Order: sequence, then C-alpha cells, then structure tokens
Amino acid sequence: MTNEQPVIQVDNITKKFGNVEAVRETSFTVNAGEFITILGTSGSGKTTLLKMLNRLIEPTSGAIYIDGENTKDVNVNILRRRIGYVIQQHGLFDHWTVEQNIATVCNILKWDKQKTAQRIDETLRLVQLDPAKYRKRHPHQLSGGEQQRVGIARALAADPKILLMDEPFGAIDAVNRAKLQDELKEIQKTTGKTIIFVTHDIDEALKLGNRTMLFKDGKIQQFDNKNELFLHPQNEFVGDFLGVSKQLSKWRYLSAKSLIKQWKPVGGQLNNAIDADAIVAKVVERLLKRPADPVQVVDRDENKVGYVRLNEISEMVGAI
Amino acid sequence: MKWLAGAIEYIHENQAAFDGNLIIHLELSFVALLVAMLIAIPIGIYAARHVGAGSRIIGFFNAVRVVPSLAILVLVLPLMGMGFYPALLALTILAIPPIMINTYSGIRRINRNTLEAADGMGMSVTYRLFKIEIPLASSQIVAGIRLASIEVISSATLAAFIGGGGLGTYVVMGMSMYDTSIMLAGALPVTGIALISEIVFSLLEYGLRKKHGELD
Ligand SMILES: Nc1ncnc2c1ncn2[C@@H]1O[C@H](COP(=O)(O)OP(=O)(O)O)[C@@H](O)[C@H]1O
Ligand SMILES: [Mg+2]
Repeated sequence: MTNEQPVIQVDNITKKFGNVEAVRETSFTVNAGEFITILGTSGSGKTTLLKMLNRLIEPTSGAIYIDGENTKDVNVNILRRRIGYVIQQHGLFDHWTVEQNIATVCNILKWDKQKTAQRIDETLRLVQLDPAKYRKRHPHQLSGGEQQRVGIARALAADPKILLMDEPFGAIDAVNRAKLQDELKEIQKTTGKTIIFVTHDIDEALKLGNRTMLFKDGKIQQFDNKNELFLHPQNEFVGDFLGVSKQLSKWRYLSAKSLIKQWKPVGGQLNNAIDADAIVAKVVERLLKRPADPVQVVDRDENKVGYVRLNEISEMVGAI
Repeated sequence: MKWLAGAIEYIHENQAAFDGNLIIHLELSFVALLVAMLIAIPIGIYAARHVGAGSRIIGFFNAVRVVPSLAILVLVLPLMGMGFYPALLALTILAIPPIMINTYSGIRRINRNTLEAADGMGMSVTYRLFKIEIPLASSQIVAGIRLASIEVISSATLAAFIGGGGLGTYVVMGMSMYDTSIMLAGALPVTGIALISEIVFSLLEYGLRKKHGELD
C-alpha cells in the first residue's frame, strides 16, 4: 500500500429529490486502479450516487473530491471530459459512425486528426473489435454487445483515469455478458483505470469488483472485498443478501486461504501448490484431479502454507 | 388532350409573360420557405428546450395551422394591401407551423440516453445542440420543410387573387374567361413544381433516416 491520496473521496453526500432521499450521508474513498462495484436492488440509489461523481446530479449536501480537488471547483464540462461514462442503453450517437462516436471527447478537446485516428484504432482493438471492419459503421449496424463495446471504447478514448459504468451489460444476453465481463476485467488490468461499476447482479458485482459496495435505501451497508463480505457481514441485510447464493458463492468467490485454519511456515517441497488467493473451486478441482495428494495452499507474501485433503474439504467449506 | 395542347400552345404564345410569372411563383415560394425556416427552426428549438412556454407556443401554431390558406391571404389584405409582399407574408405565415412543429417534435423525441451520454462526455449546451440535437432531428425538420413547401407552392397560386402574380394569374384568368386551357397553363406547372419539391425533399428525408437507422 502506498500513501497516495485517494482518486475519489466522497465526503458525507446526501441527495434529496423532494421528499425522497435517494442517497443519505454517504462517505467512502477509492484508490487508484481499484475496480469498485456498487451492488443494490433497483431504486436503492446507485445511479444517483454514480451521477454525483461526474455532476450529472449535484448533491444536496456534502462534497466529492477527485485527485484531492473539490469537484464543485472544477468547470463541470472539463470535469466530465476527464471521466469516462458508460450507460446501459449505450447512448451512442446514431448519426455518427463508430469512429466519430469514439472520437467524441478527442474532438471536443480538439486533438489533432492523426492522434485521434490512432486512438480510435487502439481503443477499438482494446474492446476486441477489428478497426478496419467497424470504423465506418453506424450504431444501428451493430449488435447489442458491439454497441456496448463501442460505448466502452468511446469512454476510454481520451484516456480518462476514472471510468463510471451504470449497468453497462444489463441489456446483454447472458453469454455475451459473461464475455464482456471477462474483457472488461482484462481491460482494467492492462490499463490500470479506476472503475466504478453499478449493477444489481450479485454475480457480476462479485466477479468484477476488487471491492464491492452493498447499497440499500441510499446507504452503504458494507464496502469490502468478497472475503470480508461473506465472512464478516456487518449487518443482517448483508448476510441475507449474500446468503441467498452463499453455498455456491463460497466455491466461486472465496479465496483458498479462507479454508485454512492452521498455517505452517513453508518448509519442504511444494509439489501441489495453489496460490492462497485462488478461489476455493480451484482447490476442489485440483483435489479431484489428484485425489491422493493434499493441496498446498501457499501464501507467498507471508511465506506460509496450509494443507487441504480431499476427505476434509467439505467440512472445511462448511466451516467457513 | 385538346385542353392540354391548348395550354401548351397558350404558354408558347405568351412565353415572356409566362416566364415572368413562373419566376415570381418560384421566388414567392422559395423566399417564403426560407424566411419561414429562419423563423420556425429557432422558435421550434426554443420551444423544445422550454417545456412550459414550449407547449403554449406549439399550441398556438397548431391553431394557426387550421386557418385555411386563402383566409390567411385575405387577412393580410387590410394590413398590407395588394401585391407581391403581402402574398409573401401570407405564404411565410403558412409555412411556419409545419416546420416549427416538426423541429419541436424532432428534438423532443431524441432518446434521453443519447442526451445523457452527450452531457456525461462534457459537451457544452451549444455543442450538444449543433452537433447532436439538430442533426438527430434533421430528418423530421426536413419532413416539416417538405410539408411546408407543398403548401407554399400550391398556395402561391392563390397569391394572384391578392395581386401577387405568379402562375395563379392564369388560373384566375382562365376561370373568369371560362377557358380551361389557360387555367391548365397555370395549374399544370404548379403541380409539376410541387411534385419535384416533394421528390427532392422525400429523398433527402429518406437519406437522413437511413443514415440514422430510423428505418428498421
Ligand atoms: N430525477 C429524479 N427525480 C425524482 N426522484 C428521483 C430522480 N432520480 C431518482 N429518483 C428516485 O431516487 C431513488 C433512487 O433512484 P436511482 O438512483 O435511480 O436508483 P437505482 O439506480 O439504484 O435503481 C428512487 O426512489 C428514484 O425514484
Ligand atoms: Mg439505476
């Protein structure tokens, strides 16, 4: 951990629409390069919270700092050009080609033509679309998944540090959604962008987020990584919300290290090792492949190891 | 057939006068349409962006729309007397409602997500208006101009009644002389011009709709 200032700092913001308090006294910080998911049911205030970050909605009270600067003190259009924004119904400009759409912010910023053209190709490749094939198309000549990809490319074009995404895959079929999720995760890794991603889908939130913010009635219920959310739910709501898929989720989301009760210093040979941050399902998979050998769950940071045997696994998972 | 041949013969015999009236007719129609566009499009945009005032403005012009063209022509008589300019004024008034109403609805029906995306990317109000809203409303604005042009071209025929000249002169003359050939010498070219304008604007509208994916 570095002691850099957080990229985003939200300080006690509230948003009222008449009598409705959509977001209530909410504070949190986000560090550079984090992939944050905001999870909550419809109407819980997720969109309102997200839109306050790029000032599409102004908070009733409280303040938001980006790179230490109060967003109120920045010209709103300049602020937004520095923050990528992707919404559910793509919001592409129908009268523009794919390349014109992607160049939107570059053109507002008056980048020179060559630099923009280069950037269009780069971002198209980043979202797995062949530039030669797609550059000149119009949005209505694309599938839903392709439109959403162009929406992401457009948000990335001017190279913003922060990307805000509001249920970007909500209208995409399950197969393509899974693919887009994988790609987005990869894009985040390679570009190091800070992403705030809103969704109402538990699996999506847990799969994508380094940390997940569980949101209900305009308030943060818990903002933690997966292990913490499952192992130490801070209130009944969080427990119930995640509990619905808890048994399955343990396998899919919990890390191998949460299985281990007794750690030993790494001594002998590691011939069946698995990283402590791998998911439980990987441990199970390995055990089924080599039933006779205990799996060595290795925490390399702390140079320690724990053992998992096939005859113990179901008990260990149950004990989490 | 006899009347048609008569009309062509009449035009040939009075070629110079006919050309003059044709030009006046085109001039009346074109200038009225142009002035109407310059007035109607900005007001339509204003109305679309100001919900309260907007619906009152549009309501008023919807009411204007039901006034028959001849009535408008006759109404300007006491104000401006006879001649070219009163006719021009009347035709302009006639052309404004369809263009304005289409501009208004063309801008109002733009997808909210599109506008939100535009704002979210940091477009200024004028940038968004000229680069996004007007282009996206353009097919409907063109449809309004198409409707207005038909109305103006055909109503310009009536301008002759208030001394505005144009091809209507032959219709008035033919009627008073019970001569169908002379009437057709005015009516047929008017029909032709209206048809050409309809085709040109339809093609333009179709092209825009196709480009914007509004046809599927
Ligand atoms: N512009 C608005 N005017 C009035 N109420 C609003 C507005 N936007 C959102 N709300 C209300 O605020 C609450 C939270 O909405 P929203 O942030 O859209 O939730 P979510 O994105 O989680 O579905 C809802 O009760 C919604 O009706
Ligand atoms: Mg929402």
